[in-house]
Amino acid sequence: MNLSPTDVLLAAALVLVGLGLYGLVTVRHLIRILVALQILTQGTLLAVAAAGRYSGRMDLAQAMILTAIVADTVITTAGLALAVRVWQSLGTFDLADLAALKG
Amino acid sequence: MSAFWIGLTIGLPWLGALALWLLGDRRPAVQHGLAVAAAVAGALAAVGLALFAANPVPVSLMPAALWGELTFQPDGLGVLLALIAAVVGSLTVVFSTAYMRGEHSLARYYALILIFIGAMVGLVLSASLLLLFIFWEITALCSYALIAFHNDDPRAVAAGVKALIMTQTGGVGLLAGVLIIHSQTGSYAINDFLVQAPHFPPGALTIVAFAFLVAAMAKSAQVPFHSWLPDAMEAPTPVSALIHAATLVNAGVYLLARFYPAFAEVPGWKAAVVGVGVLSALLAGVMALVAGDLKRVLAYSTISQLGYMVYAVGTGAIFASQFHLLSHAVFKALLFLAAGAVIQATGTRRLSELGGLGRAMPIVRNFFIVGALALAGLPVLNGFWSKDLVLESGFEQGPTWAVVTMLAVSSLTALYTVRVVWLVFFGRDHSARATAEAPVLMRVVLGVLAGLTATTWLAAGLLSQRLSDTLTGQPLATMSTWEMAVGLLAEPTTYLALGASALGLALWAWRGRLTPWVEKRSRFVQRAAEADFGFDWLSRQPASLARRSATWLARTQTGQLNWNMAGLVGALALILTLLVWRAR
Amino acid sequence: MATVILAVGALLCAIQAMRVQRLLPAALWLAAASAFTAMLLYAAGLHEAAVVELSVGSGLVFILLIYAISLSGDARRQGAPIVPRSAALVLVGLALLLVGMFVWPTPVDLGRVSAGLLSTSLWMDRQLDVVVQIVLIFSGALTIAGLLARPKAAAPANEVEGAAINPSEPTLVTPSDTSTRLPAPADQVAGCDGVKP
Repeated sequence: MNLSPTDVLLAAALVLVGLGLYGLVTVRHLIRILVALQILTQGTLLAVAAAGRYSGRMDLAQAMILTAIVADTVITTAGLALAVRVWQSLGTFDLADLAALKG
Repeated sequence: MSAFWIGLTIGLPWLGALALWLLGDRRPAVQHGLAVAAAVAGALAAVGLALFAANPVPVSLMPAALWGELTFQPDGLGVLLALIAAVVGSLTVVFSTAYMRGEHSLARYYALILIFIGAMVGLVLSASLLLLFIFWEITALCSYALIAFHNDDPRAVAAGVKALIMTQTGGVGLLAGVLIIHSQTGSYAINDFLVQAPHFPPGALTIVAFAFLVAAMAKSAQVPFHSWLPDAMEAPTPVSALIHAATLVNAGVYLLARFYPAFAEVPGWKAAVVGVGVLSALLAGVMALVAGDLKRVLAYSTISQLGYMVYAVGTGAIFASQFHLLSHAVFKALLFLAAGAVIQATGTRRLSELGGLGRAMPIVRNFFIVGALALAGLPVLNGFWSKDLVLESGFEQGPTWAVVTMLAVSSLTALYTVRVVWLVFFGRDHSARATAEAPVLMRVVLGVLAGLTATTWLAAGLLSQRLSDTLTGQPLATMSTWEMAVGLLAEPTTYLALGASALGLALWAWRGRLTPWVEKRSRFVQRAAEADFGFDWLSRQPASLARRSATWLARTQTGQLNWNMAGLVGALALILTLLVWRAR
Repeated sequence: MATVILAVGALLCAIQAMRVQRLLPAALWLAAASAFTAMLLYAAGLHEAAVVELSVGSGLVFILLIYAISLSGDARRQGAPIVPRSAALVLVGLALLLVGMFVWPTPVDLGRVSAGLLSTSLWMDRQLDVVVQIVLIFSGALTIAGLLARPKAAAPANEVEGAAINPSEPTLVTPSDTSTRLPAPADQVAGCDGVKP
């Protein structure tokens, strides 16, 4: 099978996305969820890069990647702040304990 | 010119509502005064509209909106109902100043009533289907809010929610019809639809016709969508008089009358309308006979009389139906307001606890009797003329079984009317309950309504001329009042109706001898009538089903990220699978 | 060839980041994965993006993670997953397979032909993106300020703009301070009937 470098890039992107999704579905610890989210985002960045290479529009791809990095950083930061707040209020990082709104 | 009057008729009550809302609840005297001022101003504007500017040309009050022209059309039909809404509305607001003395949340009460009056006027005057629908929804909302006005009473809240659910389900029918019409004609204008209706594909027209019928049935409380109206009697009595006797429930009849020329040719539609009207009149009449609550009797009576109007539309007698609508609005408002005076004086609504009040409250008794006689169809009062016109037109143009049934219902009407009059004002003496005769203001309003009851039929000629002038394409016969009176007196149906009413009265007079015999045989019917013939249970099922399924479904909402993500990924997989499948 | 090595490296680091038990090593592995991603981006020809990814992903996020972990201590082993692992594997695998089927391109590789300058593309064509970035950063900062303010001011809102500007605003205060635990999710009100009929 003749894989070009860009194909490898795309494959890596897909696997990273899969890893990230698996983490989001399985993980219970708040901070580890953010780690999984970060992996997911890296995967999408690589996918955008691959798309840019396939289409030849690499400048557009870079612009999008930059925006995505900024957004992802803000999300991660806010998520971490939330996690820390939860720790301070409830003393736990476990998702299953965050059911105060239930019912 | 007419734009000006229309703007005033809708705008003045709405401005009053806004002012009341901003004013808050601190000064009740000012609130009463402001509400009366706004309502009366609206009524005067409606009169001005009727006198100066009633013409069938659509006027646009707002510049062309996103969805096309939002136009109003002050033609005869619309102006009649607008006039009823505004005038009876102002009378009930005046009555409310005495009835609601000392109540709290007056701002909410008056604001809602004023918004309702404006919306009702807008509904009947609108020439755009979309505008019609919008006003339809506004009236439903005001109705719900006013039924549940005493929102600390769970029964009132439940009644309000029930009314909202049932009328809004009908509203879905209206929306569906409007959208289908728009998809076929490309515009929302009612006149465009009426012109193009014969060219519609028959399937589409049938759907629209029956969808509108469902909407009208739900709004006008016809069987099987009638269960909300008796429960809506939890509202303060002026609200019952205005909304549930004189205006809101007429919106359904208005809808049927307005769109009659478009739907008359749809196979089975007219028969369905006649069937619905007759069935409602009959069932509601029976239920009125066994009801034990003063306002519920009047509510069932309203359903029954609306059945008459619907039946008239079904037989093609548009003028008769609107004429009866006018009479009914006036005398039913009179009955409700008089009942309100009784309820306020005695503190109870149950017929078993009322009685013998004729001596303590003679003036109220007399006005109530005037309304009751109009309901039962005594000559000279407006009810007699309009009901006989309905029966006569039905006899000429409709199926015979329907006329016979309606005559029987006339007997029933007379019977339950005299029953309620007897049980409240005569009979067993509970007059010690009545603290005093009703306040002057109430008596004045009742007097005005009684006067109207005796005289509105004189406008029949003017009404028929206006209707036939402005409703092109509708089958209307123009006649002057004198012609109508003479014509009716010459018809056999008139005397049959009189005989039927007399029979009803006689049955009551003989009740001593008849009751044991009747009771043994009719216990089943009586039980069924008290249980609303099962319609009440039926109407509760969708709501309880929704609640049960929502409770069951809530279990899927664990609130945990992992489940939600699993759902997301699963949905993604599902959608992609479907797409791959389709692509093959 | 280089790409393959870098890709494998990134994957290995990511897997390790998710597998290790303690948080601090997990953060380290994540930083390594970000570094590999940055290198991959560079190898693909996106130089500027690679630089930003390196400094932000391997730098900023890593430092923030360390900070959060230090505030809250390293984690013990977590309990069993709520969604069974096998189900998760199947679902994710299936979704991935399908996405791959849709996304996998027909063989064409234009290489590193660039149709324009990044600066033009970013500042001219995608001005909205720049505005969005500014708004995001600003609101993110507000969120964190609100969330990590002194314990007395509880700003529970998750929304980005919902942060309390004034941390000691008494109206948002729950009377008890944050050291008390919120009530545990005790009674599962199943079959709650909602609005009274």
